[in-house]
Amino acid sequence: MRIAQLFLMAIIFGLLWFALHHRSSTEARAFRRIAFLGLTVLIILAVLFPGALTDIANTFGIGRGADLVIYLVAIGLLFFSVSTYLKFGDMDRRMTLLARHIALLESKGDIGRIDPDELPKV
Amino acid sequence: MTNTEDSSILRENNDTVIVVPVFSESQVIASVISDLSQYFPNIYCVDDGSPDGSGEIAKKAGAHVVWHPMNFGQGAAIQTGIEAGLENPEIKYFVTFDGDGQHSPIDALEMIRTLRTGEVDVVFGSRFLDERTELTAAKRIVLKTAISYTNALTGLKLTDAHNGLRAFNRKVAEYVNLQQNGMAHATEIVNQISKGGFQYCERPVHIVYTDYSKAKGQSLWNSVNILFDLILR
Repeated sequence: MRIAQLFLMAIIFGLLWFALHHRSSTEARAFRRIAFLGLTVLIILAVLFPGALTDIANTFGIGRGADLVIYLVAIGLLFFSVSTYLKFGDMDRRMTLLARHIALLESKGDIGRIDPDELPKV
Repeated sequence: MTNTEDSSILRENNDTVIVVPVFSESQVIASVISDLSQYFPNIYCVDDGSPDGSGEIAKKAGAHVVWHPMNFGQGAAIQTGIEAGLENPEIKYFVTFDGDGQHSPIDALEMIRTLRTGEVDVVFGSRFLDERTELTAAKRIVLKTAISYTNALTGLKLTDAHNGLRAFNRKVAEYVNLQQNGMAHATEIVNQISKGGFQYCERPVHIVYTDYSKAKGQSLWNSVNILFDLILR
Protein backbone atom coordinates (compact mmCIF):
# COMPACT_ATOMS: atom_id res chain seq x y z
CA MET A 1 0.00 0.00 0.00
CA ARG A 2 1.32 3.40 -0.91
CA ILE A 3 1.70 6.26 1.52
CA ALA A 4 -1.15 8.18 -0.13
CA GLN A 5 -3.57 5.32 0.36
CA LEU A 6 -2.71 4.94 4.02
CA PHE A 7 -2.89 8.67 4.50
CA LEU A 8 -6.31 9.02 2.84
CA MET A 9 -7.71 6.04 4.72
CA ALA A 10 -6.53 7.58 7.97
CA ILE A 11 -8.22 10.87 7.06
CA ILE A 12 -11.49 9.17 6.06
CA PHE A 13 -11.78 7.11 9.23
CA GLY A 14 -10.55 9.98 11.38
CA LEU A 15 -13.24 12.28 9.99
CA LEU A 16 -15.95 9.65 10.35
CA TRP A 17 -14.98 9.05 13.94
CA PHE A 18 -14.91 12.78 14.57
CA ALA A 19 -18.32 13.28 12.95
CA LEU A 20 -19.82 10.53 15.09
CA HIS A 21 -18.36 11.57 18.42
CA HIS A 22 -18.12 15.33 18.36
CA ARG A 23 -21.26 16.48 16.63
CA SER A 24 -22.78 19.79 17.62
CA SER A 25 -19.95 20.41 20.04
CA THR A 26 -17.89 23.58 19.93
CA GLU A 27 -14.87 21.72 18.56
CA ALA A 28 -16.95 20.25 15.78
CA ARG A 29 -18.21 23.65 14.69
CA ALA A 30 -14.71 25.13 14.79
CA PHE A 31 -13.37 22.14 12.92
CA ARG A 32 -15.99 22.47 10.19
CA ARG A 33 -15.13 26.12 9.71
CA ILE A 34 -11.40 25.48 9.56
CA ALA A 35 -12.00 22.69 7.04
CA PHE A 36 -14.16 25.00 4.98
CA LEU A 37 -11.55 27.79 4.99
CA GLY A 38 -8.72 25.35 4.31
CA LEU A 39 -10.54 23.85 1.36
CA THR A 40 -11.28 27.31 -0.06
CA VAL A 41 -7.62 28.32 0.18
CA LEU A 42 -6.58 25.02 -1.35
CA ILE A 43 -8.94 25.46 -4.29
CA ILE A 44 -7.69 29.00 -4.93
CA LEU A 45 -4.07 27.82 -4.80
CA ALA A 46 -4.87 24.92 -7.09
CA VAL A 47 -6.35 27.28 -9.65
CA LEU A 48 -3.42 29.71 -9.42
CA PHE A 49 -0.61 27.13 -9.38
CA PRO A 50 -1.73 23.99 -11.17
CA GLY A 51 1.82 22.71 -11.32
CA ALA A 52 2.37 22.95 -7.56
CA LEU A 53 -0.63 20.71 -6.95
CA THR A 54 0.94 17.95 -8.99
CA ASP A 55 4.18 18.34 -7.02
CA ILE A 56 2.27 17.95 -3.74
CA ALA A 57 0.42 14.95 -5.14
CA ASN A 58 3.67 13.36 -6.18
CA THR A 59 5.15 13.64 -2.70
CA PHE A 60 2.17 11.55 -1.48
CA GLY A 61 2.68 9.08 -4.29
CA ILE A 62 -0.34 10.23 -6.27
CA GLY A 63 0.25 10.74 -9.99
CA ARG A 64 -1.64 13.89 -10.83
CA GLY A 65 -2.75 16.96 -8.90
CA ALA A 66 -6.29 16.50 -10.23
CA ASP A 67 -6.45 13.07 -8.59
CA LEU A 68 -5.51 14.58 -5.25
CA VAL A 69 -8.31 17.12 -5.65
CA ILE A 70 -10.80 14.35 -6.45
CA TYR A 71 -9.79 12.43 -3.32
CA LEU A 72 -10.06 15.47 -1.11
CA VAL A 73 -13.44 16.42 -2.56
CA ALA A 74 -14.68 12.85 -2.08
CA ILE A 75 -13.60 12.92 1.57
CA GLY A 76 -15.21 16.33 2.02
CA LEU A 77 -18.45 15.08 0.53
CA LEU A 78 -18.50 11.97 2.70
CA PHE A 79 -17.85 14.02 5.80
CA PHE A 80 -20.55 16.49 4.81
CA SER A 81 -23.10 13.72 4.17
CA VAL A 82 -22.46 12.01 7.47
CA SER A 83 -22.55 15.17 9.51
CA THR A 84 -25.71 16.38 7.73
CA TYR A 85 -27.37 13.00 8.27
CA LEU A 86 -26.54 13.12 11.96
CA LYS A 87 -27.62 16.72 12.26
CA PHE A 88 -30.99 15.93 10.73
CA GLY A 89 -31.32 13.05 13.16
CA ASP A 90 -30.65 15.39 16.10
CA MET A 91 -33.15 17.92 14.80
CA ASP A 92 -35.73 15.19 14.34
CA ARG A 93 -35.26 14.06 17.94
CA ARG A 94 -35.62 17.59 19.24
CA MET A 95 -38.72 18.21 17.18
CA THR A 96 -40.20 14.95 18.43
CA LEU A 97 -39.70 15.98 22.05
CA LEU A 98 -41.36 19.31 21.39
CA ALA A 99 -44.27 17.71 19.53
CA ARG A 100 -44.72 15.09 22.25
CA HIS A 101 -44.79 17.77 24.89
CA ILE A 102 -47.49 19.64 22.97
CA ALA A 103 -49.45 16.45 22.28
CA LEU A 104 -49.46 15.48 25.95
CA LEU A 105 -50.40 19.00 27.06
CA GLU A 106 -53.28 19.10 24.59
CA SER A 107 -54.59 15.74 25.67
CA LYS A 108 -54.62 16.59 29.39
CA GLY A 109 -58.10 15.92 30.68
CA ASP A 110 -58.94 13.89 27.64
CA ILE A 111 -56.75 11.00 28.61
CA GLY A 112 -57.00 9.34 31.94
CA ARG A 113 -58.12 6.16 33.54
CA ILE A 114 -61.77 5.25 33.19
CA ASP A 115 -63.53 6.05 36.44
CA PRO A 116 -64.23 2.67 38.03
CA ASP A 117 -67.85 3.76 38.66
CA GLU A 118 -68.37 4.17 34.94
CA LEU A 119 -67.49 0.57 34.26
CA PRO A 120 -70.35 -1.92 34.10
CA LYS A 121 -71.22 -3.29 37.54
CA VAL A 122 -70.37 -6.90 38.19
CA MET B 1 -68.31 -15.27 27.54
CA THR B 2 -71.12 -13.81 29.62
CA ASN B 3 -71.55 -10.14 30.38
CA THR B 4 -70.62 -10.65 33.99
CA GLU B 5 -67.28 -12.12 33.03
CA ASP B 6 -66.73 -9.30 30.57
CA SER B 7 -67.20 -6.58 33.10
CA SER B 8 -65.05 -8.28 35.70
CA ILE B 9 -62.24 -8.50 33.12
CA LEU B 10 -62.67 -4.80 32.38
CA ARG B 11 -62.48 -3.95 36.05
CA GLU B 12 -59.45 -6.13 36.56
CA ASN B 13 -57.68 -4.46 33.63
CA ASN B 14 -58.43 -0.92 34.69
CA ASP B 15 -54.82 -0.66 35.81
CA THR B 16 -53.58 -1.34 32.29
CA VAL B 17 -53.03 0.94 29.33
CA ILE B 18 -53.00 -0.37 25.78
CA VAL B 19 -50.78 1.88 23.69
CA VAL B 20 -51.84 1.77 20.04
CA PRO B 21 -49.67 3.73 17.62
CA VAL B 22 -51.85 4.70 14.68
CA PHE B 23 -50.89 6.04 11.30
CA SER B 24 -53.51 5.98 8.56
CA GLU B 25 -55.45 2.96 9.75
CA SER B 26 -58.93 4.35 9.11
CA GLN B 27 -60.12 1.10 7.52
CA VAL B 28 -59.39 -1.12 10.49
CA ILE B 29 -58.84 1.02 13.58
CA ALA B 30 -62.48 1.01 14.69
CA SER B 31 -62.61 -2.78 14.83
CA VAL B 32 -59.19 -2.97 16.51
CA ILE B 33 -60.43 -0.62 19.25
CA SER B 34 -63.74 -2.35 19.68
CA ASP B 35 -62.05 -5.78 19.95
CA LEU B 36 -59.63 -4.42 22.54
CA SER B 37 -62.33 -2.66 24.51
CA GLN B 38 -63.96 -6.03 25.30
CA TYR B 39 -61.11 -6.60 27.72
CA PHE B 40 -59.35 -3.31 28.30
CA PRO B 41 -61.02 -0.08 29.36
CA ASN B 42 -57.98 2.18 28.83
CA ILE B 43 -56.90 2.29 25.22
CA TYR B 44 -54.50 5.10 24.36
CA CYS B 45 -54.25 5.68 20.65
CA VAL B 46 -51.46 7.91 19.49
CA ASP B 47 -52.48 9.33 16.14
CA ASP B 48 -49.15 9.94 14.47
CA GLY B 49 -50.30 12.68 12.15
CA SER B 50 -52.64 10.50 10.08
CA PRO B 51 -54.06 12.37 7.10
CA ASP B 52 -57.09 10.06 6.90
CA GLY B 53 -58.82 10.87 10.18
CA SER B 54 -57.80 7.65 11.96
CA GLY B 55 -57.62 9.52 15.25
CA GLU B 56 -61.23 10.73 15.06
CA ILE B 57 -62.39 7.21 14.21
CA ALA B 58 -60.43 5.78 17.14
CA LYS B 59 -61.95 8.37 19.45
CA LYS B 60 -65.48 7.52 18.30
CA ALA B 61 -64.68 3.85 18.84
CA GLY B 62 -63.94 4.67 22.48
CA ALA B 63 -60.19 5.14 22.65
CA HIS B 64 -58.41 8.03 24.31
CA VAL B 65 -56.45 9.79 21.61
CA VAL B 66 -53.22 11.74 21.82
CA TRP B 67 -52.49 13.66 18.65
CA HIS B 68 -49.07 14.12 17.19
CA PRO B 69 -49.11 17.35 15.20
CA MET B 70 -47.26 15.59 12.39
CA ASN B 71 -45.89 12.21 11.48
CA PHE B 72 -42.86 11.08 13.44
CA GLY B 73 -42.89 7.31 13.22
CA GLN B 74 -44.03 4.35 15.25
CA GLY B 75 -41.26 4.57 17.84
CA ALA B 76 -42.15 8.18 18.62
CA ALA B 77 -45.84 7.32 18.88
CA ILE B 78 -45.21 4.45 21.28
CA GLN B 79 -43.05 6.64 23.53
CA THR B 80 -45.78 9.29 23.60
CA GLY B 81 -48.37 6.66 24.52
CA ILE B 82 -46.20 5.33 27.33
CA GLU B 83 -45.68 8.83 28.71
CA ALA B 84 -49.41 9.51 28.53
CA GLY B 85 -50.02 6.34 30.53
CA LEU B 86 -47.39 7.28 33.10
CA GLU B 87 -49.23 10.50 33.85
CA ASN B 88 -51.81 8.41 35.62
CA PRO B 89 -50.36 6.95 38.83
CA GLU B 90 -53.01 4.20 38.91
CA ILE B 91 -51.64 2.58 35.79
CA LYS B 92 -49.49 -0.44 36.58
CA TYR B 93 -49.18 -2.24 33.24
CA PHE B 94 -48.56 -1.23 29.65
CA VAL B 95 -49.13 -3.08 26.41
CA THR B 96 -47.96 -1.96 22.97
CA PHE B 97 -50.36 -3.12 20.29
CA ASP B 98 -50.23 -2.46 16.56
CA GLY B 99 -53.07 -0.46 15.02
CA ASP B 100 -53.39 -2.52 11.85
CA GLY B 101 -55.28 -5.44 13.33
CA GLN B 102 -52.52 -8.04 13.18
CA HIS B 103 -52.47 -8.63 16.93
CA SER B 104 -54.96 -10.46 19.07
CA PRO B 105 -56.42 -8.89 22.24
CA ILE B 106 -56.51 -12.37 23.80
CA ASP B 107 -52.72 -12.57 23.48
CA ALA B 108 -52.46 -9.18 25.19
CA LEU B 109 -54.74 -10.43 27.96
CA GLU B 110 -52.57 -13.49 28.52
CA MET B 111 -49.43 -11.35 28.61
CA ILE B 112 -50.94 -9.09 31.27
CA ARG B 113 -51.89 -12.17 33.29
CA THR B 114 -48.27 -13.28 33.14
CA LEU B 115 -47.15 -9.84 34.34
CA ARG B 116 -49.61 -9.95 37.24
CA THR B 117 -47.81 -12.94 38.72
CA GLY B 118 -44.96 -10.48 39.38
CA GLU B 119 -42.33 -12.95 38.20
CA VAL B 120 -41.31 -10.88 35.21
CA ASP B 121 -41.25 -7.18 34.31
CA VAL B 122 -41.61 -7.62 30.57
CA VAL B 123 -43.41 -10.09 28.35
CA PHE B 124 -42.39 -10.10 24.69
CA GLY B 125 -44.70 -11.53 22.07
CA SER B 126 -43.12 -14.00 19.69
CA ARG B 127 -44.56 -15.39 16.49
CA PHE B 128 -41.93 -18.14 16.38
CA LEU B 129 -42.84 -20.06 19.53
CA ASP B 130 -45.67 -21.94 17.89
CA GLU B 131 -46.85 -22.70 14.41
CA ARG B 132 -49.86 -20.41 14.27
CA THR B 133 -48.29 -17.53 12.36
CA GLU B 134 -47.70 -18.08 8.68
CA LEU B 135 -44.73 -16.26 7.19
CA THR B 136 -43.11 -16.09 3.82
CA ALA B 137 -39.61 -17.53 3.62
CA ALA B 138 -38.06 -14.12 2.90
CA LYS B 139 -39.76 -12.50 5.88
CA ARG B 140 -38.73 -15.37 8.13
CA ILE B 141 -35.09 -15.00 7.08
CA VAL B 142 -35.08 -11.24 7.61
CA LEU B 143 -36.74 -11.51 11.02
CA LYS B 144 -34.38 -14.26 12.09
CA THR B 145 -31.38 -12.20 10.99
CA ALA B 146 -32.76 -9.21 12.85
CA ILE B 147 -33.21 -11.18 16.05
CA SER B 148 -29.69 -12.60 15.83
CA TYR B 149 -28.43 -9.04 15.60
CA THR B 150 -30.62 -7.87 18.47
CA ASN B 151 -29.59 -10.80 20.66
CA ALA B 152 -25.90 -10.24 19.91
CA LEU B 153 -26.29 -6.54 20.71
CA THR B 154 -28.30 -6.92 23.90
CA GLY B 155 -27.28 -10.27 25.32
CA LEU B 156 -30.92 -11.24 25.67
CA LYS B 157 -32.24 -14.48 24.24
CA LEU B 158 -35.35 -13.76 22.23
CA THR B 159 -36.89 -15.60 19.32
CA ASP B 160 -38.67 -12.72 17.59
CA ALA B 161 -37.57 -9.21 16.69
CA HIS B 162 -39.80 -6.39 15.67
CA ASN B 163 -42.92 -7.85 17.14
CA GLY B 164 -45.11 -4.93 18.14
CA LEU B 165 -46.95 -6.79 20.88
CA ARG B 166 -45.25 -6.46 24.24
CA ALA B 167 -46.39 -5.95 27.80
CA PHE B 168 -44.44 -4.46 30.67
CA ASN B 169 -44.93 -3.01 34.12
CA ARG B 170 -44.64 0.57 35.29
CA LYS B 171 -41.01 0.18 36.36
CA VAL B 172 -40.06 -0.63 32.78
CA ALA B 173 -42.28 2.12 31.35
CA GLU B 174 -40.49 4.66 33.51
CA TYR B 175 -37.09 3.36 32.49
CA VAL B 176 -37.63 3.08 28.75
CA ASN B 177 -36.98 6.16 26.65
CA LEU B 178 -37.35 5.51 22.93
CA GLN B 179 -35.36 7.88 20.75
CA GLN B 180 -35.58 5.92 17.55
CA ASN B 181 -38.63 7.40 15.91
CA GLY B 182 -38.76 4.85 13.13
CA MET B 183 -38.98 1.09 13.26
CA ALA B 184 -35.56 0.69 14.86
CA HIS B 185 -37.33 1.31 18.19
CA ALA B 186 -38.07 -2.42 18.36
CA THR B 187 -34.38 -3.17 18.81
CA GLU B 188 -33.92 -0.08 20.96
CA ILE B 189 -36.57 -1.15 23.46
CA VAL B 190 -35.01 -4.61 23.80
CA ASN B 191 -31.63 -2.96 24.29
CA GLN B 192 -32.92 -0.66 27.03
CA ILE B 193 -34.72 -3.49 28.79
CA SER B 194 -31.47 -5.42 28.72
CA LYS B 195 -29.53 -2.45 30.15
CA GLY B 196 -32.13 -2.01 32.87
CA GLY B 197 -31.63 -5.61 33.93
CA PHE B 198 -35.34 -6.41 33.96
CA GLN B 199 -36.78 -9.89 34.19
CA TYR B 200 -38.41 -10.92 30.95
CA CYS B 201 -40.06 -13.81 29.19
CA GLU B 202 -41.65 -14.54 25.85
CA ARG B 203 -45.13 -15.69 25.03
CA PRO B 204 -46.33 -17.12 21.74
CA VAL B 205 -48.60 -14.73 19.89
CA HIS B 206 -50.54 -15.11 16.71
CA ILE B 207 -49.89 -12.52 14.02
CA VAL B 208 -52.68 -12.39 11.48
CA TYR B 209 -51.38 -11.32 8.11
CA THR B 210 -54.42 -9.99 6.31
CA ASP B 211 -54.14 -8.48 2.86
CA TYR B 212 -54.57 -5.15 4.60
CA SER B 213 -51.77 -5.59 7.10
CA LYS B 214 -49.51 -7.04 4.43
CA ALA B 215 -50.07 -4.01 2.24
CA LYS B 216 -49.52 -1.64 5.18
CA GLY B 217 -46.76 -3.62 6.81
CA GLN B 218 -43.03 -3.37 6.65
CA SER B 219 -41.36 -3.71 3.32
CA LEU B 220 -38.38 -5.97 3.67
CA TRP B 221 -36.32 -3.12 2.26
CA ASN B 222 -36.99 -1.23 5.44
CA SER B 223 -34.69 -3.65 7.26
CA VAL B 224 -31.82 -1.88 5.50
CA ASN B 225 -33.06 1.45 6.85
CA ILE B 226 -33.48 0.01 10.32
CA LEU B 227 -29.93 -1.29 10.34
CA PHE B 228 -28.64 2.11 9.27
CA ASP B 229 -30.65 3.88 11.96
CA LEU B 230 -29.22 1.57 14.59
CA ILE B 231 -25.60 1.89 13.55
CA LEU B 232 -25.46 5.56 12.59
CA ARG B 233 -27.14 7.81 15.07
